[in-house]
Amino acid sequence: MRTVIPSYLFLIAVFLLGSSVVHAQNTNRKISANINIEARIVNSIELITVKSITLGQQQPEQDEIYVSSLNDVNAGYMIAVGSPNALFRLNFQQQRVLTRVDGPGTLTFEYEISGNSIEEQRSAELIEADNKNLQFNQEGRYYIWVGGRVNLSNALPGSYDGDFTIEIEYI
Amino acid sequence: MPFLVVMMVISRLKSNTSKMHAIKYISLIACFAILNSFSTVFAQEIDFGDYSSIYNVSVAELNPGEDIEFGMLVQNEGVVGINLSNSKILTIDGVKYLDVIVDITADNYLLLNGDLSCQTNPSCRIPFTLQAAYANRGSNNTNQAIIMSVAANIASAQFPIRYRGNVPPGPPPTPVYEGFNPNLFQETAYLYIYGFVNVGSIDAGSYTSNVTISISYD
Repeated sequence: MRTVIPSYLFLIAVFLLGSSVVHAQNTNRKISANINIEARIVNSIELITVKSITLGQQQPEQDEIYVSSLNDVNAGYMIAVGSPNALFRLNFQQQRVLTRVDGPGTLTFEYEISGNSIEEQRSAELIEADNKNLQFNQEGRYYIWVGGRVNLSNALPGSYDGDFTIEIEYI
Repeated sequence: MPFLVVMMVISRLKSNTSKMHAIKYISLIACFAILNSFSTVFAQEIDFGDYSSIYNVSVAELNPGEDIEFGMLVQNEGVVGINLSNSKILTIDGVKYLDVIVDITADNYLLLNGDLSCQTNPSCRIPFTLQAAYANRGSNNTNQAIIMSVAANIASAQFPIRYRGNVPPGPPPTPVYEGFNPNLFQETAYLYIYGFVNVGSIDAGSYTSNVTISISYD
């Protein structure tokens, strides 16, 4: 029995060694790189109509109506709200057809728009119908006045109705 | 059942000494069997990339300094993606007959000004979904790109630097010898990283996050 215990230990030791996992020297390198992802989020643009354009009641002998967007109190007034200091492009359809409410007849209205980064009509600048690069002010606002001109020489008496489309997008 | 057979054999032995010897040897065999069951058996595999430091691999940006740039997005714009053809391209230069393991890990969110506190604040984070692909036919061609599988914004793939077709790996690599020129065995694979964001009702501002790419030989 005296020789039994050492032989046990020897065999156990041999099998414990045999069960261990042996790795060769590993020199494999791992390299890495980093890339940034970026996005700039701007506020969605809101267009608030504060006041519609008012043409008033016209006399039959009057050939033309003109509402100045720069200095007429009857001009429409809108506020565009977006991201502070962001540049934007403004488009509008300069000529629109107004339809007579109570019967046949149309009028062609030629819109005139002016805009300003401060809330002051008389220092506003005229905006052309084609693309123009404009900028929201520090509060993210831009002020727009809408006027226009219509020829009444061939117009039938009555009420005329039409809409105005203005499109604003960030640059 | 084997245990019963063993017990029957032992009980039939005449002398106590024989029984003692039998018990001793049987317990030894049992001991070996138990110990052997702990050993791990591997299939034969040689990872050539492991055994020579001369096999270099490098990664670089095809257009350095160019980020994955979503540009200007408007609040509530919804899902906006950068597709494969506009992806960020990385080049992997390595030994053409060796496999590389590529892991691309992207943050789950773009954060407002990179502020980590936004990770739990839906009003200042943008969810980002990673997509990735690779091309290993020797040219930067998205038409040859193979889309990588992505799980939890981690894209992983193992592929040879140079496509070898649907055939088993070739013979072992050329051993390093005097005058060995590793450049003769270099090739470039291309990595394409892209994905999409989902812009909801979030604060305006600059959002950033990070993608980490790790590459090693198999």
